[in-house]
Amino acid sequence: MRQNFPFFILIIMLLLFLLLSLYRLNYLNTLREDLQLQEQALAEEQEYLLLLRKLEKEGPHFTERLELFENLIPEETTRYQLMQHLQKIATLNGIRLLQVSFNDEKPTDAYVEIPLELSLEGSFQALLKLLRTMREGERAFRVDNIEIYTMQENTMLSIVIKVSMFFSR
Amino acid sequence: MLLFFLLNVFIALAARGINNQALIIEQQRSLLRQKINSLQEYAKMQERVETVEKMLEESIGTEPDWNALLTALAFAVSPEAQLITLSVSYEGDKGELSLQGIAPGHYAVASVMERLNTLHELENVRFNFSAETESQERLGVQFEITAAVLPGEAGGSRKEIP
Repeated sequence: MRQNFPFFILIIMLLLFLLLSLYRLNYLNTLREDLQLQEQALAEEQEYLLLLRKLEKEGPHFTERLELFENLIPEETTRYQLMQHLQKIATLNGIRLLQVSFNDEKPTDAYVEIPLELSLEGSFQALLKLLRTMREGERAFRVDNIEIYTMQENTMLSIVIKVSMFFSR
Repeated sequence: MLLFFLLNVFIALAARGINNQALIIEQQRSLLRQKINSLQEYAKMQERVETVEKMLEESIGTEPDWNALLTALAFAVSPEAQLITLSVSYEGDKGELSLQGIAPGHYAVASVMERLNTLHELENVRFNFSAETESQERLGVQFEITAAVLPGEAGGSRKEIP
Protein backbone atom coordinates (compact mmCIF):
# COMPACT_ATOMS: atom_id res chain seq x y z
CA MET A 1 0.00 0.00 0.00
CA ARG A 2 2.83 2.36 0.89
CA GLN A 3 4.68 1.46 -2.29
CA ASN A 4 1.56 2.06 -4.43
CA PHE A 5 0.80 5.48 -2.96
CA PRO A 6 3.46 7.52 -4.92
CA PHE A 7 2.47 5.71 -8.07
CA PHE A 8 -1.16 6.74 -7.53
CA ILE A 9 -0.07 10.33 -6.95
CA LEU A 10 2.01 10.12 -10.08
CA ILE A 11 -0.98 8.96 -12.11
CA ILE A 12 -3.09 11.80 -10.69
CA MET A 13 -0.36 14.32 -11.52
CA LEU A 14 -0.02 12.96 -15.03
CA LEU A 15 -3.75 13.24 -15.51
CA LEU A 16 -3.71 16.80 -14.21
CA PHE A 17 -0.83 17.69 -16.55
CA LEU A 18 -2.73 16.05 -19.39
CA LEU A 19 -5.85 18.06 -18.61
CA LEU A 20 -3.83 21.23 -18.25
CA SER A 21 -2.12 20.57 -21.57
CA LEU A 22 -5.42 19.93 -23.28
CA TYR A 23 -6.81 23.12 -21.81
CA ARG A 24 -3.77 25.06 -22.98
CA LEU A 25 -3.94 23.49 -26.44
CA ASN A 26 -7.57 24.47 -26.65
CA TYR A 27 -6.65 28.01 -25.61
CA LEU A 28 -3.94 28.06 -28.31
CA ASN A 29 -6.48 27.00 -30.93
CA THR A 30 -8.85 29.75 -29.79
CA LEU A 31 -6.04 32.27 -30.12
CA ARG A 32 -5.26 31.00 -33.64
CA GLU A 33 -8.92 31.27 -34.65
CA ASP A 34 -9.09 34.80 -33.25
CA LEU A 35 -5.94 35.67 -35.15
CA GLN A 36 -7.44 34.32 -38.38
CA LEU A 37 -10.55 36.42 -37.82
CA GLN A 38 -8.38 39.47 -37.19
CA GLU A 39 -6.40 38.79 -40.37
CA GLN A 40 -9.62 38.40 -42.31
CA ALA A 41 -10.99 41.65 -40.90
CA LEU A 42 -7.70 43.38 -41.76
CA ALA A 43 -7.89 42.14 -45.36
CA GLU A 44 -11.50 43.33 -45.64
CA GLU A 45 -10.62 46.75 -44.24
CA GLN A 46 -7.67 47.03 -46.63
CA GLU A 47 -10.00 46.21 -49.51
CA TYR A 48 -12.55 48.77 -48.27
CA LEU A 49 -9.80 51.38 -47.98
CA LEU A 50 -8.83 50.73 -51.62
CA LEU A 51 -12.47 51.20 -52.60
CA LEU A 52 -12.67 54.46 -50.64
CA ARG A 53 -9.48 55.70 -52.34
CA LYS A 54 -11.11 55.01 -55.71
CA LEU A 55 -14.22 56.88 -54.53
CA GLU A 56 -12.02 59.77 -53.35
CA LYS A 57 -10.81 60.16 -56.95
CA GLU A 58 -14.47 60.26 -58.02
CA GLY A 59 -15.19 62.96 -55.40
CA PRO A 60 -15.35 65.95 -57.80
CA HIS A 61 -17.58 63.93 -60.13
CA PHE A 62 -19.94 63.09 -57.24
CA THR A 63 -20.10 66.76 -56.23
CA GLU A 64 -20.93 67.74 -59.80
CA ARG A 65 -23.63 65.04 -60.07
CA LEU A 66 -25.18 66.04 -56.74
CA GLU A 67 -25.30 69.71 -57.74
CA LEU A 68 -26.94 68.72 -61.01
CA PHE A 69 -29.53 66.53 -59.29
CA GLU A 70 -30.27 69.15 -56.66
CA ASN A 71 -31.19 71.51 -59.50
CA LEU A 72 -33.22 68.85 -61.31
CA ILE A 73 -35.24 67.91 -58.24
CA PRO A 74 -34.66 70.63 -55.63
CA GLU A 75 -35.48 70.19 -51.96
CA GLU A 76 -37.97 73.04 -51.99
CA THR A 77 -39.88 74.80 -54.70
CA THR A 78 -42.76 77.26 -54.99
CA ARG A 79 -45.36 77.70 -57.71
CA TYR A 80 -43.90 81.13 -58.32
CA GLN A 81 -40.48 79.56 -59.06
CA LEU A 82 -42.07 76.95 -61.33
CA MET A 83 -43.94 79.66 -63.24
CA GLN A 84 -40.73 81.65 -63.60
CA HIS A 85 -38.91 78.61 -64.94
CA LEU A 86 -41.71 77.70 -67.36
CA GLN A 87 -41.86 81.24 -68.69
CA LYS A 88 -38.08 81.28 -69.05
CA ILE A 89 -37.85 78.06 -71.06
CA ALA A 90 -40.86 79.03 -73.22
CA THR A 91 -39.31 82.40 -74.07
CA LEU A 92 -35.89 80.86 -74.70
CA ASN A 93 -37.39 78.39 -77.17
CA GLY A 94 -39.59 80.93 -78.94
CA ILE A 95 -42.94 79.55 -77.86
CA ARG A 96 -45.86 81.43 -76.27
CA LEU A 97 -46.98 80.22 -72.89
CA LEU A 98 -50.68 80.96 -72.80
CA GLN A 99 -51.87 79.17 -69.69
CA VAL A 100 -50.55 77.10 -66.81
CA SER A 101 -52.86 74.98 -64.65
CA PHE A 102 -51.61 73.35 -61.49
CA ASN A 103 -53.17 70.06 -60.45
CA ASP A 104 -53.04 68.36 -57.05
CA GLU A 105 -49.56 67.44 -55.87
CA LYS A 106 -48.78 63.73 -55.62
CA PRO A 107 -46.43 62.90 -52.76
CA THR A 108 -44.30 59.74 -52.81
CA ASP A 109 -41.76 58.50 -50.25
CA ALA A 110 -38.82 60.32 -51.81
CA TYR A 111 -40.33 63.22 -53.76
CA VAL A 112 -43.45 65.22 -54.50
CA GLU A 113 -44.84 65.33 -58.02
CA ILE A 114 -46.48 68.54 -59.28
CA PRO A 115 -48.70 67.88 -62.31
CA LEU A 116 -49.18 70.84 -64.66
CA GLU A 117 -51.08 71.50 -67.82
CA LEU A 118 -49.50 73.97 -70.22
CA SER A 119 -51.27 75.67 -73.12
CA LEU A 120 -48.83 76.90 -75.70
CA GLU A 121 -48.71 78.41 -79.14
CA GLY A 122 -45.77 78.19 -81.50
CA SER A 123 -44.09 76.48 -84.38
CA PHE A 124 -43.29 72.79 -84.56
CA GLN A 125 -39.57 73.59 -84.36
CA ALA A 126 -40.13 75.66 -81.22
CA LEU A 127 -42.07 72.78 -79.66
CA LEU A 128 -39.21 70.38 -80.43
CA LYS A 129 -36.74 72.77 -78.82
CA LEU A 130 -38.96 73.11 -75.74
CA LEU A 131 -39.22 69.33 -75.41
CA ARG A 132 -35.45 69.07 -75.69
CA THR A 133 -35.04 71.65 -72.93
CA MET A 134 -37.51 69.77 -70.75
CA ARG A 135 -35.56 66.56 -71.28
CA GLU A 136 -32.06 67.95 -70.84
CA GLY A 137 -32.50 71.25 -69.01
CA GLU A 138 -31.77 72.27 -65.44
CA ARG A 139 -35.14 71.12 -64.02
CA ALA A 140 -36.58 67.61 -64.33
CA PHE A 141 -39.83 67.25 -66.27
CA ARG A 142 -41.87 64.21 -67.09
CA VAL A 143 -44.08 64.73 -70.11
CA ASP A 144 -47.27 62.70 -69.81
CA ASN A 145 -49.30 63.97 -72.74
CA ILE A 146 -48.88 66.17 -75.81
CA GLU A 147 -51.75 67.40 -77.95
CA ILE A 148 -51.07 69.35 -81.10
CA TYR A 149 -53.69 71.16 -83.18
CA THR A 150 -52.83 72.81 -86.44
CA MET A 151 -54.31 76.21 -87.22
CA GLN A 152 -55.72 76.74 -90.67
CA GLU A 153 -54.99 80.45 -90.80
CA ASN A 154 -51.21 80.14 -90.18
CA THR A 155 -48.39 77.67 -89.55
CA MET A 156 -48.58 78.05 -85.80
CA LEU A 157 -49.65 75.16 -83.65
CA SER A 158 -51.91 75.15 -80.64
CA ILE A 159 -50.31 72.83 -78.10
CA VAL A 160 -51.40 71.39 -74.78
CA ILE A 161 -48.79 69.55 -72.75
CA LYS A 162 -49.35 67.73 -69.49
CA VAL A 163 -46.13 67.55 -67.52
CA SER A 164 -44.96 66.84 -64.01
CA MET A 165 -42.23 68.65 -62.11
CA PHE A 166 -40.77 67.48 -58.81
CA PHE A 167 -39.22 68.42 -55.52
CA SER A 168 -37.58 66.08 -53.04
CA ARG A 169 -38.85 65.44 -49.50
CA MET B 1 6.44 14.73 -16.81
CA LEU B 2 9.23 16.42 -18.67
CA LEU B 3 7.35 15.90 -21.90
CA PHE B 4 4.28 17.64 -20.49
CA PHE B 5 6.42 20.42 -19.15
CA LEU B 6 8.06 20.94 -22.56
CA LEU B 7 4.66 20.80 -24.25
CA ASN B 8 3.33 23.54 -21.98
CA VAL B 9 6.42 25.66 -22.56
CA PHE B 10 5.89 25.26 -26.31
CA ILE B 11 2.21 26.21 -25.97
CA ALA B 12 3.09 29.26 -23.89
CA LEU B 13 5.66 30.40 -26.48
CA ALA B 14 3.26 29.81 -29.37
CA ALA B 15 0.51 31.72 -27.54
CA ARG B 16 2.89 34.60 -26.96
CA GLY B 17 3.79 34.65 -30.67
CA ILE B 18 0.12 34.66 -31.65
CA ASN B 19 -0.66 37.42 -29.17
CA ASN B 20 2.17 39.51 -30.60
CA GLN B 21 0.84 38.99 -34.12
CA ALA B 22 -2.66 39.91 -32.95
CA LEU B 23 -1.29 43.08 -31.38
CA ILE B 24 0.46 44.07 -34.64
CA ILE B 25 -2.73 43.38 -36.61
CA GLU B 26 -4.78 45.41 -34.13
CA GLN B 27 -2.37 48.33 -34.56
CA GLN B 28 -2.61 48.02 -38.36
CA ARG B 29 -6.41 47.90 -38.13
CA SER B 30 -6.45 50.94 -35.91
CA LEU B 31 -4.41 52.88 -38.50
CA LEU B 32 -6.65 51.59 -41.29
CA ARG B 33 -9.77 52.64 -39.41
CA GLN B 34 -8.39 56.17 -39.03
CA LYS B 35 -7.78 56.33 -42.80
CA ILE B 36 -11.20 54.81 -43.49
CA ASN B 37 -12.91 57.36 -41.24
CA SER B 38 -11.18 60.21 -43.04
CA LEU B 39 -12.46 58.89 -46.41
CA GLN B 40 -15.91 57.77 -45.24
CA GLU B 41 -17.52 60.95 -46.63
CA TYR B 42 -16.90 59.67 -50.19
CA ALA B 43 -18.86 56.49 -49.48
CA LYS B 44 -21.71 58.66 -48.19
CA MET B 45 -21.49 60.83 -51.31
CA GLN B 46 -21.67 57.76 -53.54
CA GLU B 47 -24.68 56.54 -51.58
CA ARG B 48 -26.38 59.95 -51.98
CA VAL B 49 -25.67 59.97 -55.74
CA GLU B 50 -27.18 56.49 -56.06
CA THR B 51 -30.25 57.57 -54.07
CA VAL B 52 -30.91 60.65 -56.19
CA GLU B 53 -30.27 58.71 -59.43
CA LYS B 54 -32.87 56.20 -58.32
CA MET B 55 -35.27 59.03 -57.43
CA LEU B 56 -34.78 60.54 -60.88
CA GLU B 57 -35.39 57.18 -62.56
CA GLU B 58 -38.55 56.68 -60.54
CA SER B 59 -39.90 60.19 -61.12
CA ILE B 60 -39.23 60.43 -64.85
CA GLY B 61 -39.78 56.75 -65.51
CA THR B 62 -39.31 55.39 -69.00
CA GLU B 63 -40.92 58.21 -70.97
CA PRO B 64 -39.92 58.22 -74.63
CA ASP B 65 -37.62 60.80 -76.14
CA TRP B 66 -40.48 63.10 -77.20
CA ASN B 67 -38.28 65.26 -79.36
CA ALA B 68 -37.02 62.27 -81.34
CA LEU B 69 -40.53 60.80 -81.58
CA LEU B 70 -42.16 63.99 -82.87
CA THR B 71 -39.32 64.58 -85.33
CA ALA B 72 -39.72 61.04 -86.67
CA LEU B 73 -43.49 61.53 -86.92
CA ALA B 74 -43.04 64.79 -88.80
CA PHE B 75 -40.73 63.11 -91.31
CA ALA B 76 -43.15 60.21 -91.69
CA VAL B 77 -46.17 62.46 -92.32
CA SER B 78 -44.94 65.65 -93.95
CA PRO B 79 -43.85 64.66 -97.48
CA GLU B 80 -47.35 63.80 -98.60
CA ALA B 81 -49.80 64.52 -95.83
CA GLN B 82 -50.61 67.37 -93.50
CA LEU B 83 -51.18 67.04 -89.79
CA ILE B 84 -54.51 68.14 -88.30
CA THR B 85 -54.24 66.90 -84.73
CA LEU B 86 -51.78 64.76 -82.86
CA SER B 87 -52.19 63.31 -79.40
CA VAL B 88 -49.47 61.31 -77.69
CA SER B 89 -49.52 60.16 -74.11
CA TYR B 90 -47.33 58.01 -71.92
CA GLU B 91 -48.06 56.68 -68.46
CA GLY B 92 -46.33 53.96 -66.48
CA ASP B 93 -44.72 51.99 -69.24
CA LYS B 94 -47.44 52.32 -71.89
CA GLY B 95 -48.05 55.02 -74.41
CA GLU B 96 -50.62 55.79 -77.09
CA LEU B 97 -50.57 57.88 -80.18
CA SER B 98 -53.46 59.18 -82.23
CA LEU B 99 -52.80 61.13 -85.38
CA GLN B 100 -55.31 62.80 -87.68
CA GLY B 101 -54.20 64.25 -90.96
CA ILE B 102 -55.17 65.05 -94.47
CA ALA B 103 -53.53 63.67 -97.60
CA PRO B 104 -54.08 64.15 -101.37
CA GLY B 105 -55.33 60.57 -101.76
CA HIS B 106 -55.59 57.12 -100.22
CA TYR B 107 -52.28 56.12 -101.78
CA ALA B 108 -50.53 58.92 -99.83
CA VAL B 109 -52.20 57.73 -96.61
CA ALA B 110 -50.85 54.24 -97.25
CA SER B 111 -47.35 55.71 -97.69
CA VAL B 112 -47.65 57.55 -94.35
CA MET B 113 -48.78 54.32 -92.72
CA GLU B 114 -45.85 52.44 -94.21
CA ARG B 115 -43.34 54.99 -92.93
CA LEU B 116 -44.91 55.03 -89.44
CA ASN B 117 -44.55 51.24 -89.36
CA THR B 118 -40.78 51.58 -89.68
CA LEU B 119 -40.40 53.85 -86.63
CA HIS B 120 -38.73 52.00 -83.76
CA GLU B 121 -40.50 54.24 -81.20
CA LEU B 122 -43.90 52.81 -82.24
CA GLU B 123 -45.63 49.46 -82.49
CA ASN B 124 -49.13 48.22 -83.38
CA VAL B 125 -49.58 51.02 -85.89
CA ARG B 126 -53.27 50.90 -86.87
CA PHE B 127 -55.14 52.60 -89.57
CA ASN B 128 -58.56 53.68 -88.26
CA PHE B 129 -60.20 55.46 -91.17
CA SER B 130 -59.52 57.28 -94.40
CA ALA B 131 -62.30 59.30 -96.01
CA GLU B 132 -62.60 61.95 -98.65
CA THR B 133 -63.45 65.30 -97.14
CA GLU B 134 -65.98 67.66 -98.60
CA SER B 135 -64.63 70.67 -96.74
CA GLN B 136 -63.51 73.50 -99.01
CA GLU B 137 -60.76 74.47 -96.56
CA ARG B 138 -59.20 71.03 -96.44
CA LEU B 139 -59.58 69.13 -99.65
CA GLY B 140 -58.33 65.57 -99.83
CA VAL B 141 -58.55 62.43 -97.78
CA GLN B 142 -58.80 62.76 -94.04
CA PHE B 143 -57.35 59.87 -92.05
CA GLU B 144 -56.66 58.69 -88.51
CA ILE B 145 -53.85 56.44 -87.39
CA THR B 146 -53.26 55.10 -83.87
CA ALA B 147 -50.24 53.33 -82.44
CA ALA B 148 -48.64 52.21 -79.19
CA VAL B 149 -45.66 54.27 -78.01
CA LEU B 150 -42.71 52.22 -76.76
CA PRO B 151 -40.82 53.08 -73.55
CA GLY B 152 -37.60 55.05 -73.60
CA GLU B 153 -34.59 54.80 -71.34
CA ALA B 154 -35.28 54.92 -67.58
CA GLY B 155 -34.52 58.36 -66.17
CA GLY B 156 -34.53 60.00 -69.60
CA SER B 157 -31.20 61.24 -70.90
CA ARG B 158 -29.90 62.32 -67.49
CA LYS B 159 -27.51 59.37 -67.22
CA GLU B 160 -25.62 60.69 -70.19
CA ILE B 161 -24.87 63.98 -68.45
CA PRO B 162 -21.33 63.72 -66.99
